[in-house]
Amino acid sequence: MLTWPTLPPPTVEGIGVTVAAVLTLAVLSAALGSNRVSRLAFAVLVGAAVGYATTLAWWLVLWPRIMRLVRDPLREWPLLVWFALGLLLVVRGLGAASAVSSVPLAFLVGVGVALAAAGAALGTGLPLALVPWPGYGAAVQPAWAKALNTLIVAIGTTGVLLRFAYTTGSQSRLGRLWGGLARNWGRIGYLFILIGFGTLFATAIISLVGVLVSRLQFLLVDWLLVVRG
Amino acid sequence: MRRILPALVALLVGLVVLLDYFLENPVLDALGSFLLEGAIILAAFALLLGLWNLLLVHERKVRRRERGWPASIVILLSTLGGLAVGLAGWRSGALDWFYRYVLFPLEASTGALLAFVVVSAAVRLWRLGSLEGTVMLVVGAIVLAGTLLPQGGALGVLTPLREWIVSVPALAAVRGILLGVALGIMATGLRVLLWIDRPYE
Amino acid sequence: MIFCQACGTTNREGSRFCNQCGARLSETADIACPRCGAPNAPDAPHCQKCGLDLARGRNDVWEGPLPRVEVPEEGTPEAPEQPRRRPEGVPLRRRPHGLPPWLDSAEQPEEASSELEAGALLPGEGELALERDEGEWSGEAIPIEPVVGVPYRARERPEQPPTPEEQKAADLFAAVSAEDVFASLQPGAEEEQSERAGRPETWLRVLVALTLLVAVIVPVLLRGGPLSAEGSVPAPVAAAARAIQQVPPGATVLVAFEYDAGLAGDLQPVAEAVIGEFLSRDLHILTVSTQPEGAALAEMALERVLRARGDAGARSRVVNLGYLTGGQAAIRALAVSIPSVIRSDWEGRPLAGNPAVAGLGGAGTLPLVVVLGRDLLAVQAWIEQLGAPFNTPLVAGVPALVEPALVPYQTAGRLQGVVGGLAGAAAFERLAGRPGVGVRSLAAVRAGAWAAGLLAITANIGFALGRLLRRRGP
Repeated sequence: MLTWPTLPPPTVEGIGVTVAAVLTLAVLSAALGSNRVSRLAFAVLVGAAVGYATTLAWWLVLWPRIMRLVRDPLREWPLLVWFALGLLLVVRGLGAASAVSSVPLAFLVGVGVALAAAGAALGTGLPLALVPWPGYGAAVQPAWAKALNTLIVAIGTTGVLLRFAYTTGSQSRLGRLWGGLARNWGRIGYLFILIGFGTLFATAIISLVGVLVSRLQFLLVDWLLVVRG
Repeated sequence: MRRILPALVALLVGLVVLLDYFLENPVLDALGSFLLEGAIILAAFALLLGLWNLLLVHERKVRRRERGWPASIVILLSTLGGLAVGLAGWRSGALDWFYRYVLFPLEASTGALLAFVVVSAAVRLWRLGSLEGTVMLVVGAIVLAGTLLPQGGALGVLTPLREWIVSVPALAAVRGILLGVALGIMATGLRVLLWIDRPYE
Repeated sequence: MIFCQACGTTNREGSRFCNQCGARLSETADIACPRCGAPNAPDAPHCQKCGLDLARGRNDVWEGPLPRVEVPEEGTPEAPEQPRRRPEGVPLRRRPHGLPPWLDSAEQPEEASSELEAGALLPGEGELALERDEGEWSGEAIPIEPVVGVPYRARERPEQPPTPEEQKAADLFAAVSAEDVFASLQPGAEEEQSERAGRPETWLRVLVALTLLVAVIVPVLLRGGPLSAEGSVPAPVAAAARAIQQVPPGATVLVAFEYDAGLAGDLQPVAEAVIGEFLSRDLHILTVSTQPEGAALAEMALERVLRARGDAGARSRVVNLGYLTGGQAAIRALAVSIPSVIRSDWEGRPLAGNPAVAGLGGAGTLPLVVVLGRDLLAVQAWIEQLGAPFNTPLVAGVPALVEPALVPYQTAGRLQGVVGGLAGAAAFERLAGRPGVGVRSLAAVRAGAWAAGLLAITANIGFALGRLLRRRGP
């Protein structure tokens, strides 16, 4: 049911909805071109996001562990090690770079690369490389269509990998032959990349229009109360 | 010694975590959990460092009256405001109000703004070049129509065509990119653990 | 900079002896041009070789238009080899603002270098052509060798002058590296760039904005319309629903909120649909996030679901574990053992003694984990740290734009199903028999996407026709 626009009541929530609506309009005004109001809104966003994230990190990660250490220091002593390294990290960030202050950074890098490499191998590399590619609607395709789709996927995947590979330009006959094959196969891979980008472009439009719809619904339904029922 | 210490730490820690990932062993599990807890805590400290860095950079801009310093004042005020609300108003509902009615609408609207940006880019797609523009426009149009159109009807062939594009050529492209990235990550991980790259220095 | 007259090395201002050869530097030693490296008299206003305004060039801020480099005509003595040139009749085209050079080239660098001297990259015949207006950045890829070699040769081997192509590449690189990149990020920079480009874009912005807004607002006001007709249920959504149905009643599932407010418009409906289905199947729900905003978004989604169901008592079956820093390390730690890394919930209540988490081990032991991720990396992290090593069934909820990128993981069996965006949420709601935000918003999404698609196609066809007519001439 459509009604005349009405502002929400001056409760805590009502005031919040109005503040949210003003900020929403400030940001969306950038659709017509960057202006002072939208730039002000973006600046508020940057600061607010950092302040919010830091607050949560303090209250949900650091503070509970500090309290655990204070309540039971004998059992929770390993936390001291991490807090000491954390302080070293902050000290390094403030400009006191040294071998010792590089330790927490080295620690984070060591954990990070190990998890990333192991995960990439077991979670992405092996499954995607070894599992057969049934392609489109495997269960209902005739055998020739399945085979053709699998061949297309194989050619495309290899072409994409070769597109980003760099050959050293060997002068031997075999080297030149391979270089030429790799380059041309890479061109086919480029075509597949364009198809992938075209697909992502279309789905990006659908996705972002969905986000826009959600904001406009907030303005019309929650703020101006134009649509009710 | 100066260069060896952090490299040694990275190597030992990385090895333990790597072995813990692949092997089942009570000692490795305990060590791995210990190290992961450390990473969680250090990541929180890294956030604190990021906050300090932001305050420092913008304070310098304001002090030196560098270009864009009024925006830096706003950033500083909003950061300190968010911190004040969060630290003093934790569990009082103030932080919740701050998130729902200040941060959420700002961020969500920025996402909504991207819709206009992406459509503006789509309007100028062919300026990329005839090959790139043609392929992306045709494929994009088919995928868009195939997603939005109901099945059946005169244009009903677009839906299975869209399915085929997503499941075969687009799949091949994404698969190739994912494999390439995975190979790169594995190679980088090995380089760091073998001390060839030392990003922590 | 002070130029040593004995060996040609540039030395810092104020130096009395050369760093390279030790020769005493004249108090009036030549100054090296910051762009081309050529020696100039200390009081010279412009560089004798490239014309750079030496007073402004020293300030490392390039404010004026970039220099136009003259490429000699074919057959002149200064161009002994034939550089690659724009074919006759192929019009030059302005580079779109902000696109990287690699998007312009359709050819491999190796192939280009076989035809071009010094490996410079120029567009292929008939495919791409770049416009070089006065003051415009030409946008060509800059080869490395001339950039490194030309300033050296200008000083060390004046008898071996660079070719025009090499000189051009070196000049462009010097101009770009001297440009104040951060100036473009400052307030007001966009207006300056538009003025320099000489092409107002306001009309385009207004057209796009009006088209999208009208297309979307009408269905919102009408609360649906002809575009809200049901479509087919996508196979990944049906697979996700099947995976959820296989979870035994009373079990505990984990929902990871790995997104922020930026894409919440596309993901909150998915979250609400999935949580609603879990509650209707009497499952216990844990929510967690390695993104700062995830915990608050989980609370917001839960509030809406409970309000829609009118069942406030169901809240006791949901535990919000809050936020954990550390990214992949946090996910791995949660996979191994949740109680060892999180001991109290989002509200600060201790987990010990909470019946919803009694006997809880690691996330790897749960019958199902739903990852609501804003992008491929968010879902990939959970696949790599939880799904792969522990073989835990995973279902992903993602914005529509990420859905095609997850098809390889579905095909490889690492994801049991994917619910993509508002359309996916609408399909899931229909399957579950509980229409919600997804179904209500579908008409507006379809209308907006249609309008965007038609506008894009029409504009591009118009551009192509215009270019065709310009090529044919008057």
